[in-house]
Amino acid sequence: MRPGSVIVDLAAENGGNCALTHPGEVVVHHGVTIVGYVDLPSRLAPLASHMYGSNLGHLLNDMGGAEKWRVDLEDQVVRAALVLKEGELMWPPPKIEAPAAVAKPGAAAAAAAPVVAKPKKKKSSGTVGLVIGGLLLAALGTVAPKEFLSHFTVFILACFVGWQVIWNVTPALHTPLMSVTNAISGIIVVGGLLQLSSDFTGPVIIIGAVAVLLASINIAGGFLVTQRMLRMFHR
Amino acid sequence: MPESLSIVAYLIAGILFILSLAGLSAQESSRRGNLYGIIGMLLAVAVTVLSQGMHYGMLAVAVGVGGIIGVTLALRVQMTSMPELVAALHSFVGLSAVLVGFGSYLMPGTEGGTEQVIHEVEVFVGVFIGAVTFTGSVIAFGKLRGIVGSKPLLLPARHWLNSLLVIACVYLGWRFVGAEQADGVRSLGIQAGIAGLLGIHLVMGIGGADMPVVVSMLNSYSGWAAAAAGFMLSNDLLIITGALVGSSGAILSYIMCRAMNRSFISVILGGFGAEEGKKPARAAGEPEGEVVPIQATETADLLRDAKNVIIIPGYGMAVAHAQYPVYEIAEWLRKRGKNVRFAIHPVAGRLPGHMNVLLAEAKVPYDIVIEMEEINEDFPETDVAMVIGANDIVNPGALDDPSSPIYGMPVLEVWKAKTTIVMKRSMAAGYAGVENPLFYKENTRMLFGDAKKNVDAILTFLRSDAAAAAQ
Repeated sequence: MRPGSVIVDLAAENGGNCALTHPGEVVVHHGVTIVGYVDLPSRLAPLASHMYGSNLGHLLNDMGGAEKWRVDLEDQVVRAALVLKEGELMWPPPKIEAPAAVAKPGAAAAAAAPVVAKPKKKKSSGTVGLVIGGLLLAALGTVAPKEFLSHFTVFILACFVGWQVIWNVTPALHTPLMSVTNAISGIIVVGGLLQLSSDFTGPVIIIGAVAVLLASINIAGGFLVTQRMLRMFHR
Repeated sequence: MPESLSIVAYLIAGILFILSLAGLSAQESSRRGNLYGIIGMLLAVAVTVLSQGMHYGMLAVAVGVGGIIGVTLALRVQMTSMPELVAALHSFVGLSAVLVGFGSYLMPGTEGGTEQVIHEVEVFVGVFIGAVTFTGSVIAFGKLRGIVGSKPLLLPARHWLNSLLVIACVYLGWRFVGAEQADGVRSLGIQAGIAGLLGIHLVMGIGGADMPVVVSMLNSYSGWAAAAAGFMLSNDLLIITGALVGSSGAILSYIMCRAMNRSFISVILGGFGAEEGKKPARAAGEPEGEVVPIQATETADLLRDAKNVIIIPGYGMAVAHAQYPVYEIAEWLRKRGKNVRFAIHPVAGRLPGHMNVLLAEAKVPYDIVIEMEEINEDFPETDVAMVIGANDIVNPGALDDPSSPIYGMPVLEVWKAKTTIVMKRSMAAGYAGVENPLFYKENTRMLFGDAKKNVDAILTFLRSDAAAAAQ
């Protein structure tokens, strides 16, 4: 290995994977540093805290330190990490056009900054979909009447319930699942029944009767064939 | 009956439907689930009938005739023909949705303003989805039955044609909203016709082998059609049920797409799977190695000496009606303490889960029928893997040959077994038109001929040898 290389021997406790490891010590051999600490896990926590702390320290310094501290909205690093300002929701941040521009003077700060900003950036791309969905819903809310929206609520919630329930269905029963959904989509019979009401006359009731007939085929056929199939399954 | 009471009854029916689907999570609870569904349906129908005066005569005739047709279909249908039945039932839902849409539009007593516009849009959307579902399912039924040729119909510029049809529908919809009733009915009728053409065209563009995806997709459409009907009638039960069925179909289509290596979007747009099937890929050249044939007697010997056996059924087995003797073989082996299991690929049948039903019909216990993802890792410890009437779902090229059209499709890794026996009519390629390197592997033995005859022969050998040994 080249001089300046570092070997961290995680197996130092049991003698080590490297022949030159001295358990519990750091030795330098031909310029190669061999770390033989046996208490690596317990060193991890303080080190992690130290690194995270120095990250935040650099960020705060970058924002002006104790004397000149201020929230600079033009600073992309600060902007990307900003969630709430004076009671106003600043999240999500506007899209950064050239991510390379993040590399600003102050090598340490620049190195620290992406670490702080990155995880949040990823999250924002995931939330974009939710935000767009929310905006569409809000737009719908401004034009649609209340009655429609209450049905719409039911519809969306039912889709979610369906999604959860169906993924739980065992693949072995997918054919019965299709036939039973055939049967329950025969619920459209209710639509036909409402049109068979004695309040109406003329073409409406004929249409209603045909719809009831078709849906009845589904209900009777779907449930019966599902029952027939399910009866075949045995241990 | 007071209105609030009927709303509560609808709520209960909705919950029962959800429980009915939840029951299908395991075989033990599935029959109770179906019962919940039936109770929910009876409740919903009873409440609707009691909530208002009815033309009882017509009601009785419609329900009676429909019920009798349904019962007859359900009792007569062969398990191999389940896809046709399911497709037919989808078409009925679609047509009902169209009819309910027209009826709802003609129903007197809608007031003006935003609410009427919304109502008309709902009618319009409901009729559109219903019509696409109806004609699409009729074509799917025809293709499954063989009345309509199973080859995909590929018109030039078919995606443009589809877009044009959709634009025409939207235009008619714009004319329809706010129109006088007579004009409105005409627009709605023409629109239904165009949507019907769209449904025909979407399904005509799809090849016979891709029918599992199409049928599950139409399942989804039929749900959305019911939900749309629920919106126009302001009926939450229809909306809930439609949403349940719609998501069910969508999930099934997604699962099928993944198992068949198809993109979900291209399925929705129709006309998928054609490019792939056109020319068999031979980019990697002829597979190396040679085909080793085997006889039924030797197969019987291999099975007798094996400890772990996995049987991989394909649709070819069901076509040859070989599942019954296969079950006998499995039982014979199990009685001698061997570990026999069936491995099911998601697209082994013509419907999602179709193969499970076909095996259940042949009395194979469901706890030895295992899904692909669970059994794939067991092949290395398997002595004999027996492939009956399947091809593409056991093609190793899907894993290691990037030039293969089915590259990336999950397959059953049968070649990892000590010996793999493939029963096949001939060396012909499968639906995807792809050469199968499995047949040329060193540990693969080919048993040519009719699956039923071969399986019968193996069974006879097993039994006669056992009898000889006993004497």
